[in-house]
Amino acid sequence: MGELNLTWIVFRHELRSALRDRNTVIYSIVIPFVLYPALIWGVTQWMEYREGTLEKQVSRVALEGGDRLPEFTELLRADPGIDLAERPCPPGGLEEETVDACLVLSDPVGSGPPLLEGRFDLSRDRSEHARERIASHVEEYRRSVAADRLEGYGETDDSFDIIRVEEKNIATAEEMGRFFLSLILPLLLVIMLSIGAMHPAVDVLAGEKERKTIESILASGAPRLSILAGKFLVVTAASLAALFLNLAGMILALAHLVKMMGERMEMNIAVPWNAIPVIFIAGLLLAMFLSATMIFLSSFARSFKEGQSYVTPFYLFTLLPALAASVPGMKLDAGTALIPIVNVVLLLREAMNGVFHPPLIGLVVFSLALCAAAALFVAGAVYGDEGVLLGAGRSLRSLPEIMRQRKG
Amino acid sequence: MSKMIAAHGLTKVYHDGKRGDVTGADSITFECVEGEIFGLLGPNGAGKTTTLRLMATILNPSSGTVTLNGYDVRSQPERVRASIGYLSGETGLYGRLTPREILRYFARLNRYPDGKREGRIEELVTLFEMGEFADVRCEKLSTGMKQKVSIARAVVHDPPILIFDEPTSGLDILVADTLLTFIEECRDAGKCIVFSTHIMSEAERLCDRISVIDHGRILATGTLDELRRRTGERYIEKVFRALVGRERHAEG
Repeated sequence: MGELNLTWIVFRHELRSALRDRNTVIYSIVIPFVLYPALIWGVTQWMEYREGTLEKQVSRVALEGGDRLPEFTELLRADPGIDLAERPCPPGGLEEETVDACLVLSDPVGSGPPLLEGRFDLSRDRSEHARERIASHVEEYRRSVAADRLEGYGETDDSFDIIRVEEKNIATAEEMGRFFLSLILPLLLVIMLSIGAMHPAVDVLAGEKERKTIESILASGAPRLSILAGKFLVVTAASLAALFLNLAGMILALAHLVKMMGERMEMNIAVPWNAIPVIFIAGLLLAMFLSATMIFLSSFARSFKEGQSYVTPFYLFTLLPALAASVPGMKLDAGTALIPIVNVVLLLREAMNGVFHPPLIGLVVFSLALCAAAALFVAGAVYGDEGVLLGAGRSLRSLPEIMRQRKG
Repeated sequence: MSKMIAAHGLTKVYHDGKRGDVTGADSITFECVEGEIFGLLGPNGAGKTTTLRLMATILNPSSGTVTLNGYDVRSQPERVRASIGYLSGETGLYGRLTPREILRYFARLNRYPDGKREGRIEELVTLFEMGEFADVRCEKLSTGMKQKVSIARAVVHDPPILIFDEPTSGLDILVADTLLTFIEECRDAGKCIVFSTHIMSEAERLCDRISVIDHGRILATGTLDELRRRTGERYIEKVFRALVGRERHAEG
């Protein structure tokens, strides 16, 4: 029986164990897939509910001096959404929420227009909505008076159309969709690969120490390299699963949203087919790099909780280059192609927009493969260290010593 | 009787940041043959676990050698591991797997022949009376049930050498007795067994020969009768106290 077969046995065992772990299933499968559909559904439902509730609510408005502009006062009075009380604002009425808006109409100063003073509590939805209703009536009144006055001069509103503006977006709906995806997808790729790898990476080693199963497996007939390889493969698989499930969930949710918005959103959400191999290769290599690094970091931990505290800072650290690469103006060139994570974000941004530079893609693949190999090498050295495996006082600070011993 | 284990000058020195170099096992030398239970008897922290971990290739020796079933722990660690079944009192189980799945996993890892695997698993399920819980996840089992699974896990590949490190630790008297009886049966079947304990009655009941160990060093090795003659004491507790006390007195 070859060592590859033993790796496969460890992989299957770890996969079965991971799929029976509620946290791994939640973080690597459920959240990535349902996150966007749930978010979009939740937000649209909440907005509809909020708007519906506010529309049903009558705005309680106190108006003092309404007789100074009877037409405007009549507009307010005629609005069924406004309960108008033509009297001064009761003291503390806004604070105690017995009124939603207090208006005072004053006489014109000199030859100026009358002054409408409004007081609101904008920290309350109901008061904010009253403000919006009143503002729409002010605008309506202003237009009506302006139209009357223009008519007196024999003019209409159209007389003031000095220039007409027409805008046309030459980008197709597909191109707009690609542009939109190129902004969010690369960053999401890094986040999802990390989130997917985190839980199983901690579980396969720190969890093994916590469950006290580590000695059993170390004393088994399988070579340690096969054991590590099996564990590494399952973490990488979880990381990739999180990415692709998230991608599928996001595209389904966005496509549904675009369809719902109809012509208001000129966008077609779809990943261009020629970007898929690039996403897959870059995603795979980055998943390998992140998985190996997280395994080696968590291997110093003696418990699952301790492992999480080692891996979480690394996860947050991966967001920095991902965010840096999202800054407008950053481009994939021979320099940025060598910086891990930055290179993936830039490569995907270009790929989503249909830009492919084979030499630069090669550099990115080379850089990621090198990083993944280096991380795996370190993980292998750490996994071979008895002090780390038995939790005997080894910490991250011991890494140089472990590497020296390995070299020796 | 063929020699199954031969340890010569086996030494393990740990480097501890606070205490400097600490010797966990100091020039351990003993031999063990098939059909024999060899006991390592010593107080907590005496070096029993370190010695057994060196034999199981979980630790690397600082110096000295040990061969198991003819294989050297340094140059042929995988062959050594395939020849042993290792169980310590602290060994845990995969809570999300069932006993049957765990046995299958370790049989595969230890390259037990595919054709015999399921038969061997059923044999152990019957032997340890695990039928009622063989398909229940281990996280739901009692301590006694878990220990039965652990023993079966250690022997599923039918190794010629068994290494038990304080295996009755934390067990109730009935489960402990089941385990000790099983170890006796393994001896009768020709297995070579190394058994560490600090419980004198277990050593007295099981061990054909005993090494008394303290501070990482073997103080004396022999049958119980030989150790009795050497110390002039009748009861094993007194024998143990005499040997350890003599050594500690000599160290001042």
